Amino acid sequence: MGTVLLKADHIYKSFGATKAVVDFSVEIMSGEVRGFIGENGSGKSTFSSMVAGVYKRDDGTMQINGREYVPHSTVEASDNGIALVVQEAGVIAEISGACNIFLNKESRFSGKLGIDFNEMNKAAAEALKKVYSEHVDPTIPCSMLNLEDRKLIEIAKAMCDDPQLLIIDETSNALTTRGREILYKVIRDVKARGGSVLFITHDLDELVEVCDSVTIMRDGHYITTLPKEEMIIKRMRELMVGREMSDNYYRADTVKSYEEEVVLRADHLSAPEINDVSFELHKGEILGIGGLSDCGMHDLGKALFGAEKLDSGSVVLADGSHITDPKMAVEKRIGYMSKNRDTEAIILQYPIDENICIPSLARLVRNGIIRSREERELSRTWADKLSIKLRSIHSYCATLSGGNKQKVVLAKWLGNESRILIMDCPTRGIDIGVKEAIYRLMQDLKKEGVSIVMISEELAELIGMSDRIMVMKDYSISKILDRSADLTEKTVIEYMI
Amino acid sequence: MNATKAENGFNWQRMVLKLYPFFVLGLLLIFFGVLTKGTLFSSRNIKNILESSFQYLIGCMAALFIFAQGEQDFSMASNIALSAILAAMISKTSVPLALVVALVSGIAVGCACGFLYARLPIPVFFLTMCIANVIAGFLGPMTNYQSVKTPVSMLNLDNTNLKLLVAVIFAVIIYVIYNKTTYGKYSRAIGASPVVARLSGINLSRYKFAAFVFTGIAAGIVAFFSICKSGGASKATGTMFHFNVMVAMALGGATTGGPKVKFRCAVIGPLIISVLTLGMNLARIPVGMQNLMKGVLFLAVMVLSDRLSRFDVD
Repeated sequence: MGTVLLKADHIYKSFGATKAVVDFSVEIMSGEVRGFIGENGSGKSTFSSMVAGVYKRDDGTMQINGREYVPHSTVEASDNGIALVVQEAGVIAEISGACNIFLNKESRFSGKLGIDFNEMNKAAAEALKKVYSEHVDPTIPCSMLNLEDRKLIEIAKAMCDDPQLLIIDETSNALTTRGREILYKVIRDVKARGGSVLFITHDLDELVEVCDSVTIMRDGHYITTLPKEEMIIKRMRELMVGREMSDNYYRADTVKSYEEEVVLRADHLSAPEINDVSFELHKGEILGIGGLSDCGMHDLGKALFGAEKLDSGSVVLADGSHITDPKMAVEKRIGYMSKNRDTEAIILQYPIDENICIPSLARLVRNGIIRSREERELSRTWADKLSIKLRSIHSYCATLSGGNKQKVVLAKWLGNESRILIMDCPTRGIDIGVKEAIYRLMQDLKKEGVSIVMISEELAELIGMSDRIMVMKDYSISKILDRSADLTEKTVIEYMI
Repeated sequence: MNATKAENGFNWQRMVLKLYPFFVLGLLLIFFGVLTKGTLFSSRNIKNILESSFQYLIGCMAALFIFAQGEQDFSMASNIALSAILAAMISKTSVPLALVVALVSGIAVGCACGFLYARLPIPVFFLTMCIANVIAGFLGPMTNYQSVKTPVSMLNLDNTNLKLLVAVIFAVIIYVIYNKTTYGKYSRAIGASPVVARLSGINLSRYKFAAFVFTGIAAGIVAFFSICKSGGASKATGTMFHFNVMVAMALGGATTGGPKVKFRCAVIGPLIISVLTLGMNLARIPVGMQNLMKGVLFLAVMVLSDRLSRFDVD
């Protein structure tokens, strides 16, 4: 490793009364891959956004290669060799991959008759090749690409001008194993040519594999920086949350346990991406559904909630009623946590309390008028019960960190006294502390007789939490596995592929 | 240290941004009050302000639900013209019946718009423009391209106190529905994210339909009082009404759908327009300059609104 590439000194940033980054100082060397970890809301993304010119700092100084650095915009940051790949969707869905990659750089392709799109498409194909993503077609609108390919477009965009510092903010959540491999190759390429990478992730195994060192943040403060040899997962977790943590936060029991009563029956469900799926969900059961990302499990979750149009089959509850639409599902006390949290589960530009109360409003009406006091109590009670970190219950959900947003989603459905919860990737993109809290909550709900359908791409989570695991392959059920001490990831994978 | 500034609790910038329509109205009152040496505040002019605000107050309050859903109703003007013509035709038989006809006609057009809005995948802008054109196409032949006169006795109903009473009753009803029932809350949720609203158990079709019923009712009321005031109706009745409602809502602070569309937007916006227009007339500002000033004010409000959208101000 060479000279200091980025030096940040006593950086402060607040949003209203919330101190997002407090007296934070760090140095990143050229040729270094630096991990950034911390619980949701610890300030990682805020700091990286300041480096990338998204936010302006309140106080402190930054230097790039010894020169003072005060970015006023992402364009200015880009001119200084800094590129950011963001946590959420960072492409414009309606335009092509090529247009996204060269957004704001269209003048490079100016011809006599305007922009030469053929040249732009060729250059985009080259940019994608550079990030090992030749399979992505840069000429079609990004809305036609899957989430992973959109992320690869973003990576190509970030890499097209060979940045000195590449910031990757929780991007790997959206990637499959193949996508992650591509990302790691890109990181190695940046490092090999002397650039640096600031890598933010909640996956500590990945962090240990990819990074040379790691900086830990908590509540906006700098905690410490560990070199590679000191990057031990248990220690990093404890430094992140500021307390000792057990190694195993999953269920301690090793046999399935639920009541005989069937609360939901899926009867020969078929849809474009569901093929003749039938199963029963019991009272107090955690039914895990696993498989490859495109095996149909996410569509199945929506279908159980009445949000996916079925070609045939039905979802029947214990009282004989058929679930045909989300309104009916909510009335029957079913809750659905979409894996696309920011676009399908909560309204970002909407107050936290109102988000929590949406499904419950109909219950709070007397003589046509919503009882304001009960509405207030409902939102406050669940925000408190789930320890949602917020500056005001009336703030917009957009101001919350990922883990706290997920808690709002949970509060929304628990507030409606849901007896069946469909949780699609419930711990995706959230930190270890919130993860642990969600697993604990799931076990409490199970004890109370709530039935849970947990769709997950994390095998450890499926094995650790489920009474039964329904493995899906090519839109059908390939196997149902019972909870057992002998159940391994290898066994589950065998039925997935 | 800057970092601690935000911790000091009260944030002036946030408060100004949140309440900027009130400041705009206050500044206009002070400005024109001084410019007209207090004439603006005479009882006659106060009455004029209320009188000229009436129809837009009704229109804006009813349009709250559509604005909250992030949409607009471009058929309101045509709906008012149709309802006014039908009411004027029937008024020769019975004045109370004219009111009923105006309301029924307004609601019927609103229901038609609402039904199509809820069922067809057509942007509301195009849908309501098309409906407006269809109605406008009928109005000419229906009236033989002439205005339809009403009985002289109806002019007695053009009474400021009566209008004030109607506006207050309408405001109370809309306030309660918008803020205290699921109609208002769900409309705001739909405007902020129709996808999440649907996945939270909200029946989108029902609330989309209902939003147009409210503008239909408003069209009926405005149509009735319009013929009371002018003594007749023609296909030009209500011209540009939807546009003025849009401007008033924007001046009142409702420039996007969702939770930022507050009840107060529908009250402050029409008052701002009325004070501005009357103030400029009293100050004898030439018409060209009046348009310029309106344009500048509108631009300033849009800039403020853009600033507001970057803040977490509800």
